[in-house]
Amino acid sequence: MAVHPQVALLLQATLYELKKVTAWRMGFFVREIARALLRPLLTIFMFQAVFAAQGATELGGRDLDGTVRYLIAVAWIEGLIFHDRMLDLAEQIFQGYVTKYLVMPMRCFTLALARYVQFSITQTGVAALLGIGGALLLPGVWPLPVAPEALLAALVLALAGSYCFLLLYFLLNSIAFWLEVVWTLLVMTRFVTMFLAGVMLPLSWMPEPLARALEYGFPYWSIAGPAEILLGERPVSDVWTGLAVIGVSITVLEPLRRVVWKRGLARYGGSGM
Amino acid sequence: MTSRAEHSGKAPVGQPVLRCQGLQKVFQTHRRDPGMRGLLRSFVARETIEVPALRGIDLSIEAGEFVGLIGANGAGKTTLVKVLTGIVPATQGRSELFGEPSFELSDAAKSRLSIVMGQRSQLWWDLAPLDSFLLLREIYRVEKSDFDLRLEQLARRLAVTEQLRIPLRHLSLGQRMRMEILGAFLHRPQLVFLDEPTIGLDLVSREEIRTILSEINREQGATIVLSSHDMEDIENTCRRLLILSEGRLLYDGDLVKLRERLFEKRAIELHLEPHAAEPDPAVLAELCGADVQLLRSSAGALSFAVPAARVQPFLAQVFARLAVRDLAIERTPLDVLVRELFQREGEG
Amino acid sequence: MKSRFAQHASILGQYARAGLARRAEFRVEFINQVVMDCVFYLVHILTFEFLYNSVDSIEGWSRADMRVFLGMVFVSDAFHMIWLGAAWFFSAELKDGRLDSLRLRPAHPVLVYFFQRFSPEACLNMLIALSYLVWAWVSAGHALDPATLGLFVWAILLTWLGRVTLAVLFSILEFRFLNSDLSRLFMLLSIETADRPIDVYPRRLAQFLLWLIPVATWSYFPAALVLGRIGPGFAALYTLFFLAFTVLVMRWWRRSFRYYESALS
Repeated sequence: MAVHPQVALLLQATLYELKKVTAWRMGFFVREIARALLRPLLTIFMFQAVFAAQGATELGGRDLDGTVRYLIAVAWIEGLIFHDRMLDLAEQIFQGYVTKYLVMPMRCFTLALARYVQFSITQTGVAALLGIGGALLLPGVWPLPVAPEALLAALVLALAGSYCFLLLYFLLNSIAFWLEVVWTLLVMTRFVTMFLAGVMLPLSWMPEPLARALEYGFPYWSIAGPAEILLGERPVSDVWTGLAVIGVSITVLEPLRRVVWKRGLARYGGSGM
Repeated sequence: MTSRAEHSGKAPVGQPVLRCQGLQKVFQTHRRDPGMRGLLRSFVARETIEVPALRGIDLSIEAGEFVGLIGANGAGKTTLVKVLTGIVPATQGRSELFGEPSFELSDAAKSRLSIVMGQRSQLWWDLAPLDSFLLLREIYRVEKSDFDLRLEQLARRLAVTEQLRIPLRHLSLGQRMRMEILGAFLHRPQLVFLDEPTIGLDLVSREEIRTILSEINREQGATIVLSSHDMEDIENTCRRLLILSEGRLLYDGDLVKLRERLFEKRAIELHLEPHAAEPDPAVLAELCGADVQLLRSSAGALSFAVPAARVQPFLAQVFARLAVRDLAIERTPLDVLVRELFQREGEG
Repeated sequence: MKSRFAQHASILGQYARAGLARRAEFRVEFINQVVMDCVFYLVHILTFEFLYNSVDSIEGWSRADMRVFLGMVFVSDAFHMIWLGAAWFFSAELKDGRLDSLRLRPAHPVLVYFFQRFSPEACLNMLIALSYLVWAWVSAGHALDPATLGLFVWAILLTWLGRVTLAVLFSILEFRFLNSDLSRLFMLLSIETADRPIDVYPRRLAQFLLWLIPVATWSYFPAALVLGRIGPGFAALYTLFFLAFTVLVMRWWRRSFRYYESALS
């Protein structure tokens, strides 16, 4: 049976992306592993200082060990979330390189999708290695999943949430049809979404109404929600709530992405040709 | 402190501005087997290979010269330009510009140098060229009055006065290249390297750029090193020719003498009658003989390189054997000479 | 003929002019960046305000002290936004061999490269950052006399120099590990590290951030200086140390061009 051309293209493009990402070993290590390891460490130091200063055993609903486990779990899952740096679409639009794709019988989004697939494959592998390594080397500290279903639920939520991030970043990159540079926009969006996702500060430290409101957003269900399920702080059945929130977000983001892309193309000048 | 002479755009004629000896450059890269296995293998333990780009170049260029640099793709032209200008260091050997090591040029020496890269813009992509030129004025410390005069003259000569205030990305390829050239000559450099400055340009633009370069060389005495794929660029501008092949200097000498060294030939292009039968290979072989070369053969058109003294009998032979509709005779194009030179080198 | 100092000042002037010209063409970007940076500040402020709802002090830093510290973080960040935007692109440009012209310009390459992307909108951010810093200072009940102003100038100049020096230092790694993104990683880690006073880190890490990779110059040292958490003797000594460190980094960076390969063709 013949494979649909867009699917065949997606497979080829994914393979190509895999080749690209592994071509630079040091870059791969830095981008995919070192950042994931080092960033949570700094936050952990911060919370250690906070606990030490207060002399408290429990703050924000967790003791110090629980907070550390939560922060590691969050960082571990965050590694699966599609990163703004994975797309260079804005640069391609501005420089006019995107023109070559416009005359090809394919959708540009398929190439972005290939990056998402490649990223998900690579990062799931890296997360698995980190998980095994962490559990063996830091048995008391590493956030072990309370049950296999919890691990599966967390993975599904993270990958689905990651797709929302892909849509969001594609949309923001498409704004390059109007603006000169969008990197600030991308960096700041990443920053804000990470705050909303409970990466910078656990939601339990935030005021109650704000924390409750954030639980209706896909950033929370992409990172903090899965982490809480993984640690048994939430029942596995909450995965359906998470998927519903992510589903609604995709329903909103997908047509928005299409409209912005289409409108952007209408004003594309093809500079550099 | 830079002297007045350094900013006049002229270096003392006859004095070498560039000198290199035993210049070698080796790049390191990786080889990867195809397929997924090769991908994983390369990720874990990759095979490093060395690519020699320059294999011992000796060269000296004097002030005021207009030198052409040609060679096939991968011959090392761009690498040579980059090593000579100090963009990248040589792996071995010595290279000097204005008496200073190329890789450690002082700011004073850099002020006397300029480079144009046909495939890489040095101007801001998103701004009007004038903005880039104003920055260059500060970098090269050009006096405002001199800058204004120079900008006006060059822009007029390059016919881009109207485009100075339009963002670079909105200009055509030809206009962009003219802007690059304008920027390169604003500070009256004594030595200018031009790497493929006419690449992708139409015939008229190419001709205009050649004329301008020749004028600048003649009037200001600026030393120009022109690297190009286009033989016409070299033929119409340069007096001295450097031919690079596989990182070696195959020829360094007078362009006219090269023609003399290799026997003078004519390029004869024949257009056959549209409905005539395809020429018999045996006939073509007979026409070629020992000293005539078949350069190109396509549907209804043939091109031969023929010694000047053999043109008449050759044409008599052609008219007797082929149904010729039209013909053109030209001086030997440089590419034929170069090809012949490569051939001799290969045989030697 | 202009002096070397005047030449470099003029180059900065041209970069600023070009930055303004860019914004004149892409006007929406201006507002966009200001708004997004304000969000960045807000997220930081909220994080610490929420933390201080549960604790009174973190390693001796009270809420009021932490606000001054955050003010320094913002001032430092705004400087980076105004002048050092090019640092983010160094890895890619080095990999693609797009630094050829940099080798040929008769001016200091650090200035020519790192300062080329002037961002006028970040000037507004600098204004907001400075206002927050002054508010944090005054609301804590501190005086704003000439001596204090002198301390602020010292602190702010050091934070700016710290940004330049470390941006250059991190980019050196890219020469040896092409396309490794190490400079970006170190920059991002430093930004995150500098978001908290180094007192919260283990002692060895804090020493590392003070002497080996002096991220402390970005926010901790300037804030500690104006708050009087460090003595004048140490402050002077540390400033001298950092100046020497800067000279070494600049020399090292220039030498690193030995590893620059340009594009192969």
